[in-house]
Amino acid sequence: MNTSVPATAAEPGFRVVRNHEDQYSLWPVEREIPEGWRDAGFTGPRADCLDHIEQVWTDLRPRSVR
Amino acid sequence: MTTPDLLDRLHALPERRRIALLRALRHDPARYDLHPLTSAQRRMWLHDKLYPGSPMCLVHFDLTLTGDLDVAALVRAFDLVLARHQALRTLYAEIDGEQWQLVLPEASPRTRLTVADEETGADEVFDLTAGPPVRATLVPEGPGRWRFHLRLHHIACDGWTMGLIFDDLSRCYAGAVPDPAPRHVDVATESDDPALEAFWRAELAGAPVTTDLPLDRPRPLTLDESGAELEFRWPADLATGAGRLAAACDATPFMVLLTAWQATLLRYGRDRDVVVATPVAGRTTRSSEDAVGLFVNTVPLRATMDDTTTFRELLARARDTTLAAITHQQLPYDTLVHRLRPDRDPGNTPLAQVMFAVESAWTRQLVLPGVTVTGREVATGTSVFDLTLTLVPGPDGIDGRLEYRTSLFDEATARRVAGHVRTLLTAALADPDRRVADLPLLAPGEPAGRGAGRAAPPFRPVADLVAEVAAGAPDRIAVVTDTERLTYGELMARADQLAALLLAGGAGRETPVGVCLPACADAVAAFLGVLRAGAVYVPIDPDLPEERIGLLIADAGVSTVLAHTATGTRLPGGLDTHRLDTLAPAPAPPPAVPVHPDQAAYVIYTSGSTGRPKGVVSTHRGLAGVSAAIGDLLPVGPDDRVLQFHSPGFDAVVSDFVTALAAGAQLHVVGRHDRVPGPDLTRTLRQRRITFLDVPPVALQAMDPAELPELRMVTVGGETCPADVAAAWSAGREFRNTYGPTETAVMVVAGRYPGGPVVPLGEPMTGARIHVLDEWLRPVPDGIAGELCVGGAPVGRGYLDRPGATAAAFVPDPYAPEPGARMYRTGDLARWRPDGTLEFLGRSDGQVKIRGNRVEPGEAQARLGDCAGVARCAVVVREDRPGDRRLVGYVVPEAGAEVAADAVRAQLSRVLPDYLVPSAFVTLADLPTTANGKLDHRRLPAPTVERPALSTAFRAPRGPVEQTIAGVWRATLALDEVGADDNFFDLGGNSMLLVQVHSGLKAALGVAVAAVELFRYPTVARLAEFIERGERDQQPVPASSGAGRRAMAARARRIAGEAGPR
Repeated sequence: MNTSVPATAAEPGFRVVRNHEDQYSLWPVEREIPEGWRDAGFTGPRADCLDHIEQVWTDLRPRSVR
Repeated sequence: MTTPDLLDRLHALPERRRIALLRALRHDPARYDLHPLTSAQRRMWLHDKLYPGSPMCLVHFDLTLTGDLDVAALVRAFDLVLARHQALRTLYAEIDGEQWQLVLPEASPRTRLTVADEETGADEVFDLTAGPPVRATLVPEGPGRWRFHLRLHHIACDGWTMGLIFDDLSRCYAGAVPDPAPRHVDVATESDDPALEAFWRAELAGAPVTTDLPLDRPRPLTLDESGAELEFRWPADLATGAGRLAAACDATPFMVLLTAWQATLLRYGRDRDVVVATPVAGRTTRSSEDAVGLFVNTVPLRATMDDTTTFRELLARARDTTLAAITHQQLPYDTLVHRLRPDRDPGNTPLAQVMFAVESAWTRQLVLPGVTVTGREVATGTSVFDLTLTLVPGPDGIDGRLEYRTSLFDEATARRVAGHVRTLLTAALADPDRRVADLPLLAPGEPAGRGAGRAAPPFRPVADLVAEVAAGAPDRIAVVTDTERLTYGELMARADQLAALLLAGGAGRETPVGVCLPACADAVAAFLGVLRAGAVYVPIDPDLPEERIGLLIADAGVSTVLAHTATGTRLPGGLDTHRLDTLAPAPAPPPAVPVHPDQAAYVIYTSGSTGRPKGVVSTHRGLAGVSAAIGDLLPVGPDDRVLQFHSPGFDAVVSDFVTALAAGAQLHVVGRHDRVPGPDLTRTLRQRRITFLDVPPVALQAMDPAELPELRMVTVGGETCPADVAAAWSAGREFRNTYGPTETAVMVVAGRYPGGPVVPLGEPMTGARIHVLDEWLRPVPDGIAGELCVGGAPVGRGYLDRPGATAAAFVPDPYAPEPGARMYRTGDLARWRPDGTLEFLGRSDGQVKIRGNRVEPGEAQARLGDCAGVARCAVVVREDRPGDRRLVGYVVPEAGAEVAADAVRAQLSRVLPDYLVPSAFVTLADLPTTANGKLDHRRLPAPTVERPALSTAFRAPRGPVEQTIAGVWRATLALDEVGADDNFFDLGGNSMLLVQVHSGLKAALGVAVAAVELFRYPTVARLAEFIERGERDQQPVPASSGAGRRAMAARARRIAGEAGPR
């Protein structure tokens, strides 16, 4: 069975997204952002998005339990 | 000899004399028209010999003629057709091991069109040697209505042939008398040009051996040719659209329709590479176009794509591939198969499992003035390929047939497959520049990809549920150990005392509290106490290496620990440690701490690929969900006795607690040596009359269900459950297979074993929503492999202090009813089965499980690289003996250094849990690499059977006991030599292998040695001394003596408290 993540060369970009609990994730640029999530202002290859999230997501606790 | 004479004689003769006659004919080629068979005919001949009467070789047209039919003219016309075409006047015979065809000068009387009240020879099996395999019958059905049956053996015809026959029949009916047609025996050409083979070899290099299809049933070991056909019609605009796109792309409608089929198959598989067979007419010369006979050949058409390939690009490739295939079509398919796949799998058609054909409507060639012709070719009830899509474009739309193997598919699935092709084709024709990966597959309204368990009940913290049991039945027994019995009232009082202690020390919401305790009642109270305080339960196995304990405590940010005096010594300094064995019970009021459902409840560490373990943070909502989900799965109640099987460090430790305590049942807590799967666990379960057990399936393999009549409920999880285990343990008790990663609160899918070779994971449990999604998180059709993603209440918070890893695995859930929800990507491949259950299909990455533990070889490799004397290294999972999956370390030593297996093992055992320590080490001069510099796994040698390099000097076992023990070890460890002073674990032994040692010793020496003794005496010499001392003390332990075993067990339990894992 092949690996699930396609090769980076052919990989379209991702967008960093954030929800109401200030939890971050990433979502394919070409797809509509699911309800309850908003653009966190960063797009790029998957690895860059994850690096960005490492920088900006400093408190992993959901907002409602901080 | 005239044709009738010859046929009569052939009929009359016994088999042996028949051949003699034919042999005589062969020596008279001037008089008799004998020719060798083509390769395609030989295949039909062989199939006919192997499966006499096989419907796969039969062609049967069943037509209804209504109107003003001139029967005599039709009979005459058929005679002319028989006379015109050589292949309709030919019989077939094997002479001295070679297959020949004999052309008769005139048609056999038996092949003439017969008018009869019913079809003659409907059940006849063609005898290819007795006469030409052609039968035609006209059955009057009433005024102006006839049935016309035409049957032929495939050795004499193909699809094109049928068009010719109907065309000639029409012309002759109208009065024409055609010239003799070109003869198949003269014009059929097959080639074995080496250039053809070279072309196909290059074309198919690296192609996948099988095509991923939405199978309803697992593939039988040998092919079953039973099949059925599904008929459908697509609207005319698809036919015109296909024609228009073909014209725009310099292609043919065939290529457009082929591309739609290939695209559908590409989307089904994860290889992005498929091979589709297609028939080619095989009539490569002008004269052959007029000849009846078996000319058809099959060519494989390969298609590949990546995520950005558009439909138009795929069509361009299909065009090039098809044209190249047609140019190289003369190599017979059988020759190709034989050359390229000599080692064929009897369960699969080689090279391709799927076929595609565009046909003309042959029956439309039958034009009889004043007569309406309806009907068509009759389905054979067989299937040559797993799936064959045949499309017949016409003015009214596209008539289609999907032939499917009934051993693999249900009709409903065939219908969905046809629907996927249509949906994809419709969308592709509307916008050919869309990416194939983005084209829709699912028919409108087709459900796919998702399933949900019952809605989770309103949130109640787990500790409140237990407190409720305690309030209602304070005297009911909650926890039983070897030395203690705690009632629910006592348990809750102890938990509240610990909660008050923690709160007084400043712990609370989101504060990690380490719990480092042996298996005892305090361990249960500590779990509840931490939850009651609203803090975060961080279980730490006191048996872990001290460095590992230090690492976990630092990573989790633990500053407060609940421990015992003994386990406290294993903790690093500078912690606020409460020693519970020195803490006298004291009443404390229940803490008034509100708990938010999204608050962290517990942290469990799993193996991390980068070399550092990852802490998984789960919520109170998830923990409460465990209780609801298990409650809905099995009826655990106050009369049940649940064994605490799992050690701290596994997420199932919390489900064991919750299963028992939320249901008001008894939780039985025993030392780890009394839980070793095999005789020890069996004894524990029997003595304590356990009714509910959750274990990895491998643990059940080591036990006999018949010995455990009182064990009413068994759940397995953590790894794939073999069908024999499920079958053995399903009989007479409630057995459930379960599935769930640590990231989603223990278990999210569970189900019964339905029988058969596959043990499905089951259905979504209460509170869980399950999706099977493609790489871009879109639902895949049911039956197709996709990544299993979990949404709903069980979804955890993420990985402690790892924002990147958390964001990558916990992603927006676009299918959730509530906005802003997340789902967890498990990395597991699964598919929905027709019965609504999920089937596990493997990992999408390299993660593996060994003895139920999640193992990232990368983590072991990083630590191995830190060991003294190691220059470079690799750690891989090997399964050199079926079912024996183990980690193997490959070491390239630093210059001049020697790396002994036991020295490395000792270093690793200080920092890694034992399941992450490789069981064998191989020293290499260099690590093998592939052309692009990656580790070449295939060239890593299997560990040899030689005793590994150890610091311990080899000493040969002496005396019968030592030698017998050494023999048992050698068999268990697959080694050629075992030294008397070698440590069992240094030789690659592990706790599961101990079970084998146990049974081996019982068989060889007649002694049942408890697991704890094997841990305590880990060398041949020390174990032999222990056994001999036992015999000298006249305390033999006969295998059959219950009293002896009990004595042994009692001793084992005493030792269990003081012995570590080694």
